[in-house]
Amino acid sequence: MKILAQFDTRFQRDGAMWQRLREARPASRQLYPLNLPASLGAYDLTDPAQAGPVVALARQAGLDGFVVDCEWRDGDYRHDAALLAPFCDEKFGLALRWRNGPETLWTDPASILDMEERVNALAAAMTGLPPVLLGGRLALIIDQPKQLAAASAVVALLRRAAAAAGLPGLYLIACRAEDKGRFLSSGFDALIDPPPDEWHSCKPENRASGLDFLEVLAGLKDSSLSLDKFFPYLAFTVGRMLNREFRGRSVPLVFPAFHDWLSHQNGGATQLVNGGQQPADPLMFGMFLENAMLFADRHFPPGEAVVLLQSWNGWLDGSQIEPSLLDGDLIFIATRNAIDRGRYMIRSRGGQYPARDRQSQIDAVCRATRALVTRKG
Amino acid sequence: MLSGLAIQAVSGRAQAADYIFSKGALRSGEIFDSSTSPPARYIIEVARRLIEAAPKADLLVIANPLLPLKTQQISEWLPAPLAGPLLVSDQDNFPLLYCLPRQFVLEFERFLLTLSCVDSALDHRLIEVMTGMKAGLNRLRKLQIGPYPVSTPTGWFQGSERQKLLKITAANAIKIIEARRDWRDVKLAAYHPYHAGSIVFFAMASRDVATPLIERHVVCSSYRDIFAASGSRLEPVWLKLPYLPRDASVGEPQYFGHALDRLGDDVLADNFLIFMRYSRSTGFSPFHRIDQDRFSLGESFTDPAQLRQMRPPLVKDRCRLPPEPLRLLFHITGGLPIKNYPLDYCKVVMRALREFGVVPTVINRPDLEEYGAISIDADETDRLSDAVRAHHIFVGLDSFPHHFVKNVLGWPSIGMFGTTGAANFGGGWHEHYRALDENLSCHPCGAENSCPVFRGPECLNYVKPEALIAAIFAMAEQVYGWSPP
Repeated sequence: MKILAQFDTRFQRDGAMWQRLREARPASRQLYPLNLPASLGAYDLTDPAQAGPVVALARQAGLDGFVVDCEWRDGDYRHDAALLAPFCDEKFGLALRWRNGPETLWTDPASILDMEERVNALAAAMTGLPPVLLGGRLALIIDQPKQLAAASAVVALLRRAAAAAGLPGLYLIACRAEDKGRFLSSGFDALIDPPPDEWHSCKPENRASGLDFLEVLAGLKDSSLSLDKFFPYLAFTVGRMLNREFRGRSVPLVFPAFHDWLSHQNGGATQLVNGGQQPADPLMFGMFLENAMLFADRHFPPGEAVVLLQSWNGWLDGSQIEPSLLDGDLIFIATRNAIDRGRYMIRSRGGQYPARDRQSQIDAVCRATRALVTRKG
Repeated sequence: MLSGLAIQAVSGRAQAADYIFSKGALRSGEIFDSSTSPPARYIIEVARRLIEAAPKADLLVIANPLLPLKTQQISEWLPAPLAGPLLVSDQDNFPLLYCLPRQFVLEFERFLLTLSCVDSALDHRLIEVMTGMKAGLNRLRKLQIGPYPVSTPTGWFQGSERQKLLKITAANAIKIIEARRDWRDVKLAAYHPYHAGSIVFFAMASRDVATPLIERHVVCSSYRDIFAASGSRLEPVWLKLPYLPRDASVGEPQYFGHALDRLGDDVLADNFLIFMRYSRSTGFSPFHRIDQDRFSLGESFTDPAQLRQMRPPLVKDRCRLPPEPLRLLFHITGGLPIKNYPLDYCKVVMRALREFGVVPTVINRPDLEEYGAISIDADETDRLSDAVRAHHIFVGLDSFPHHFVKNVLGWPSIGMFGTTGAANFGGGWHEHYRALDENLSCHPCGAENSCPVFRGPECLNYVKPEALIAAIFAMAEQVYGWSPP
């Protein structure tokens, strides 16, 4: 079982990201303020003395690696994994998330020759990184598979390029798990849930009426209540786990909190709320993470089970698990505890069931039963 | 948080140790977490760790397990020079630290279970009468712990009413020691009288502890059959009271008062009572209740491999009937609607099994007969055991029949979990056991009325029919070589 967390490498020397965070103020009392880092401080990842403790703390939490963004910039695929790589090893690796969305090339099926060149560049960008291996292959997350006009062809190109680059194969994860497994047929190995802002897995608890709208216009009511969407955390996370097995091999994406008003200043933000005034409930988050691990263990072949945390340092949307000024170690410890519990439960299953080599047989029984039930009503 | 100091009197050298309650890894700085262990059991555990880490220490200073203390804090409260037994309390008599001679701990370890951990005057007196030595009692005038909450972030489930029970058992211990010269021969009796499933766990734990600190078990006499069938190695002290009603009409402290009356003076004079109903929140620990009870009875764990959950079961048995037709026994009624396996799922399972040529028998569910099930009564333990032996596999919910069949009979069983934690009640998979649930992020919610997320009367965390049937078939093939037609 691998637990990975997305890592934003933009927190660097120029301090622009930290400055953006420090200056961010919500325009409504309904929105949770953003948090600031505590024990690790406002680190500069270009300084090894500051980057090292980040990886060390992530290891303490029980993580097995980070996922770092990789995108086409200035004529090549670029990422900042090298800043973290010196502190990684076979127990803590780095995987890439390919941000293919902004590249128009992939939306045109006719440009297959150009694609081949790009794919080779992508494979080259993956070489030399401390690997995150799933099923013995390098994990690569494709951020916008819907932007790939010829997904199957691109998958085939990727695999060929990886082989040519001497990589031990690719484990391709498409970020579209809510699409009922459609991308698995394009050759992806697994799917992953989209982030909370891209998949609203339950109904919002605020639905503005016409009167609300008029009251907002009259300045009598907070506009955030009608322009932003507020979701109860528990229902939101349960919604993501419900009937999950029918969505194909889908990697759970887990988050303690989420409120992205900074990138939706004029409305349209997604905010997860708990019963109290806190953006995150360590107990609920711990249950989400532990159950996600148990699900992954039950539904993935050996060596392929993985859970992804929305972020290690997603300070700009409140999804971070790094120790923070306002929450201290609460979320960090909840993460570590849930991972400990999950690993313990998995170990107590002893590999007895489902016997992994018999998973296909069990799937067949499932299918037979479902067919029988459908036929007989 | 648990902590302690081991001090060498001559050199004044101190070795500090801080621990946390384990979430499963049982690393060197972690201590096993048991909901049925009273606070004093953790004093013993910390003492054991300190003695192992510092065998030459003369004095052990152990922080009250109920408080989130670290050694740095402890050091500041200790007087110098330090000699002999000493208690440090807050201004209102709440114990903060226990300073105990190592030799005393080694000699009287099991009697340390009688410490209340909530009343320093009682515990001070208890230590004095046990050791026959004068003990110090330092009160910190500037610290007031205040009313202890019902639940704490470190997992304690207490409250002032519950803590009165700990005071009563400590006071009873003082009375025994003061009255009897042979008090060292008086046995320790665990007060853990109900419910049926808990009796099974406690009995199985007693069979799995090398040298228990406890020798007797106060148990409701209505559970005689379960106690006997489970083969408990503890000596029963029968409590002739109906078990605690589950509708919360009687509180646990109130029931305890009735129990003391019913047990009578003779029992109290002849037993050091140790409160072993819940002292900690049940779901806080990831460990199975049998392992939790093993810890309560005195076993120490430093490696997950020592846990029964990780090892082959104590009992393993199987049906002697030929595998055709496959016979299944279901207990899928949990007493409350939210605990029942959903009705629509039941109908599908029964009908589908019949189509596969399987014979499904259900305990007390005549309403499922029209879907192909055979409904039977199996209220008594003997009848349940007989019914189980006539079936190849048992399928149950988180209730007594499931725990009994899995642990005592060792029968091939499948446990289904909805609102309650599979970790505490269904862990430890092997050829004859697996626990199933949907891994929803709300699990375990512990709801008793309706679903706290969807408001409905049924729990969506129960596995779907096809997953249950697949699990049954996989087990039938693994244990009996049976496969679906």
